[in-house]
Amino acid sequence: MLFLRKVLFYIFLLLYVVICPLAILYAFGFILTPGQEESVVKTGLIYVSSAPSGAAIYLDAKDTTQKTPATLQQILPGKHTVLLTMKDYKPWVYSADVKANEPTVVDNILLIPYQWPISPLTDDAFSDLIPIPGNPYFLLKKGDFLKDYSVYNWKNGTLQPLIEEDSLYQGAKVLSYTTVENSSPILFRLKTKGAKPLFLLIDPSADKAVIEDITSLLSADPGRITWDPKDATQLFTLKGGNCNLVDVKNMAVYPKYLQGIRGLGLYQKQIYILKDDNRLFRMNFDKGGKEELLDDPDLGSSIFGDKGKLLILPMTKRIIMFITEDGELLSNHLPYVFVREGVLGTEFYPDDEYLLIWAKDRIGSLDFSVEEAEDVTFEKGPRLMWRYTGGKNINQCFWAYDGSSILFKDNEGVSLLERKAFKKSYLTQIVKVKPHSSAYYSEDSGALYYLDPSSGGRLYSVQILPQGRALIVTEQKDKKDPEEKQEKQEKQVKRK
Amino acid sequence: MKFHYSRHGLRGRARSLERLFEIMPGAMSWSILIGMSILAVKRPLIAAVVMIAFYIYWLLKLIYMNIFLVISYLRLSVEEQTDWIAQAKGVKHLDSYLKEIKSKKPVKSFKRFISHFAHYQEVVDLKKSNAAIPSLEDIYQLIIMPVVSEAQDIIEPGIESFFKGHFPAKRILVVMALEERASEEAKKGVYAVQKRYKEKFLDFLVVVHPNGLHGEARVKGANATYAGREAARYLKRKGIPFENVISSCFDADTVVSPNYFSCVSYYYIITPDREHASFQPIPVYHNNIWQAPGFARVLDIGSSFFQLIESTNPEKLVTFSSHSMSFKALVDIDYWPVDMISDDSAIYWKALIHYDSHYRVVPMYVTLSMDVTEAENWWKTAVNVYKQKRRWAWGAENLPIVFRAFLKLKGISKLKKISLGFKLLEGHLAWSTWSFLLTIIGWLPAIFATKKYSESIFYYSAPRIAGMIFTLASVGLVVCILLSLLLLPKKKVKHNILKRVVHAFEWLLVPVISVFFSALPALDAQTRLMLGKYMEFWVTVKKRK
Repeated sequence: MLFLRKVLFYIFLLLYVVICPLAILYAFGFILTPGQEESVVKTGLIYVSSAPSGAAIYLDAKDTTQKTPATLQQILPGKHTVLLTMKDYKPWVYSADVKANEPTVVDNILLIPYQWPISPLTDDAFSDLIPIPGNPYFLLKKGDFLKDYSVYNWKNGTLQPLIEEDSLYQGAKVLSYTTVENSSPILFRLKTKGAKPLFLLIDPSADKAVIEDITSLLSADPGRITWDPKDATQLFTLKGGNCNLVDVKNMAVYPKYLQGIRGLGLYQKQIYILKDDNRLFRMNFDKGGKEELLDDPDLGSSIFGDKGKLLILPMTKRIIMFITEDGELLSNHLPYVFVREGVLGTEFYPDDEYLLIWAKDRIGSLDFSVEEAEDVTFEKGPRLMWRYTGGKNINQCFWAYDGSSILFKDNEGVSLLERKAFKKSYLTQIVKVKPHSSAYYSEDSGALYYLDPSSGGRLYSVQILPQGRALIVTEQKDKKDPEEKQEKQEKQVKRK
Repeated sequence: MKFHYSRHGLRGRARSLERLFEIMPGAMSWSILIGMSILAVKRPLIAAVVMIAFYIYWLLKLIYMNIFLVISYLRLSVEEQTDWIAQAKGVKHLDSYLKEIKSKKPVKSFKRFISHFAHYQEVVDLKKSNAAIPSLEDIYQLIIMPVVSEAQDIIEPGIESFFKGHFPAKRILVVMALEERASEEAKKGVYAVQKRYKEKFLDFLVVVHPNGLHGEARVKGANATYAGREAARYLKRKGIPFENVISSCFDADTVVSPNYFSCVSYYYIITPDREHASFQPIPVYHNNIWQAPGFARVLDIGSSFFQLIESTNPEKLVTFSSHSMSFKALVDIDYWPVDMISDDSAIYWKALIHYDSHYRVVPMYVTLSMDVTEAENWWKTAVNVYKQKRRWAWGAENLPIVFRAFLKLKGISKLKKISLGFKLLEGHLAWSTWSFLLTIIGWLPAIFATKKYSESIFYYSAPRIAGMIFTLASVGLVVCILLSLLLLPKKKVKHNILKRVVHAFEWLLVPVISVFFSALPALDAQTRLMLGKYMEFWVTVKKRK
């Protein structure tokens, strides 16, 4: 037994000494190619994932027998063609440039189905859809009065009026409304018989909407109103360089709370202000903890100059964007000015620090995650890449599928665009929406909500992300009869 | 070598060394765990490489151990049919016996062939040693059974098993080592058992160990030592030479197999240097195996497996739990330590040091059964199991004493010191860290992957390699499941098949069980030792339904 033990011990020791380094080298992408010029070759790998998963993977026209998500290892450096196929989905092709010792990540590929799964959600027709991003609901409106507004909760598929039938605000006409991303209340500006409009802060998140009349706290024309999503009881109004603080909880107003302001932004319960002298500050709501973020008037002047009023959009503590009235996009990162004009909106994807930017005719992205190399003589800063330049009237954009794709609305068409510039960005039109209405995409449910033009404005949804991939599976109440559904799907196919 | 096997009463350099070595296992364990965690956060690529190297080492060790587990189990099953008495008697006339077994016809059964071959080798080794061979008729068994709170229904089955075996009960001296502080119920139970079974044995003594003797801690070893001294006086009075006595110190719940004493007698006779040897059986936990919760069952079967594996390496085998040894050796080394909890392993180290490394443990392929730790409900059982495993892990208290002794001991080669010391240290480190590395820390590099690491090939290939390793390791788990089913008691119980199927699935909980009921108590014990928070003896609650 002792002899056997000793023999086995040395055998296993030898095995370890041999296997361990081989396994580690294999993990680093080295393979042995005996008989060739280089007996040890550095390889790369391709990581592929898709939604839905389970797509067959072909590499250079050969079946790898693997399905997504998968790691294809021991790939020799060079160009390789990756093809994904799956039943009921269009094939997806990509030309991968594999480098030695580096992974080529082809992840979050959203496979495009031959037929998008579309479901009607309401019997009623509406004139517009009002997104309230970051909430499990949005508004639908039929007319201009408050009684015409309804709340659709996509989590549980319920539709109910915004205010109760017996509410004294039923007959009020809506002049405008303000929403803040990730905040549940909506501020309505309503027409009254008097000169001063009515301001109602309505929070539909509870079973019964909570209505706060804050008319007494605001002037007839308070200017721009905003609040921090973490605290909707503290509103900030900005007009003519003066900022008022409106404390809804205590029904108090602090006029000229901040003065001499060109721009205002809120982030994580802090105020960002750009003063008239081009100095940028950050402070708490109570003005405590004041920090000067830009104390160089010359630099401030060169960046902000005579650009008038600005909208300050802090994306993170270190990334701050500014948009002028002309749509010029600026940042606290070099080269400071990114787009000269025309920017209509931005959407930040925090996980990858990617900023989506859109103008009327194009969509681009800024990557703030790339760190500048230390030996660079001229710092370039984040690179703006225009992903799509064929737009006509792009008015809405959404990140989809973990920031890998972009949904955008151009006039009445909603299309899907891949973010990563693979071979060439895949662009697919999905649906058409009712004219002059908005659409809404929720990453949680993976569905796009829109008003269908062919039915006069009924609310529909199209499942962009496969059901298993969406965070929340919602009940889709299919109220349509099978014939109508078939007709609808045929129309969708024809449009493509 | 004269060496005071205790951490008490040390001064100067000895005290400093003792503390240094007490701190060592805990400090090393924590360094490994914290160090790997920090490495996983700060340098996830390096941590991932280290983890892959560790996984491969662990897999190979698992396969290596599984090979010996199977071999050991086969040997155990082979020896189930062995007539130890006949073999022990035959050895008395060594030359003729040797001829007889050499000329015996080849056995058809492979099992019998193995047994025959092993026996033949043992007889040859005895012949070569020219050692005196005692007669089986001259061998006596001394059983010392410490009792502190165990009820009669726990003790009695063990007593019954002593006289129901193949070894003549009239040559067995039973000594119940009863603590003065024992409960009245326990005391009643012991005296009742004495009354009932006294006539069956050579004698049945009850030795009451007084409380608070100077220099003693409240440990089982102190109780056993007091009883051992009384037993020595008794044997002297009876004129029984210590060389002819095999002493066994059994837990109160120990039930021996029918051929235990005949087996230990055989090994005592066949071992050339028998007075410098302990005899280690394979402990199983069958007394209440079906009543105990699954996780406790899996743990104790794992202990049996560990002993099966260790028995294949007698050069480094250390005594564990209930076992036997030469009574002469026990007297020579002045019995068990009276201030240490881990008396079962300490006795081996004490003897090894006393005899200048001229001492060994002989593995015996025979079982004795004990209770799986159990309590009124699942939670209390979990607490009891945790405490028991912590007490077992407190065996790390031997490490500083052994290391100090090795620094002084001249009669042992440096290589052997390093080998034994390394095994002792490595065993405790593996016990307290491996489960954490495998189940928790191994995943940290992926969780805390920096951008740089997540953009490396290793980030993608490491999980694949780890997956392959764990898949291969699951083969080892299947082996364990099969062996555990084979090792289960043959006695028919209600829902036998169902119980066995459920038991097989219980092994899937090993990753969780090993963290909370093996690694964590071990880390707890080492940390207490490191901080100087010495543990009082906590008697494992034994309860049968």
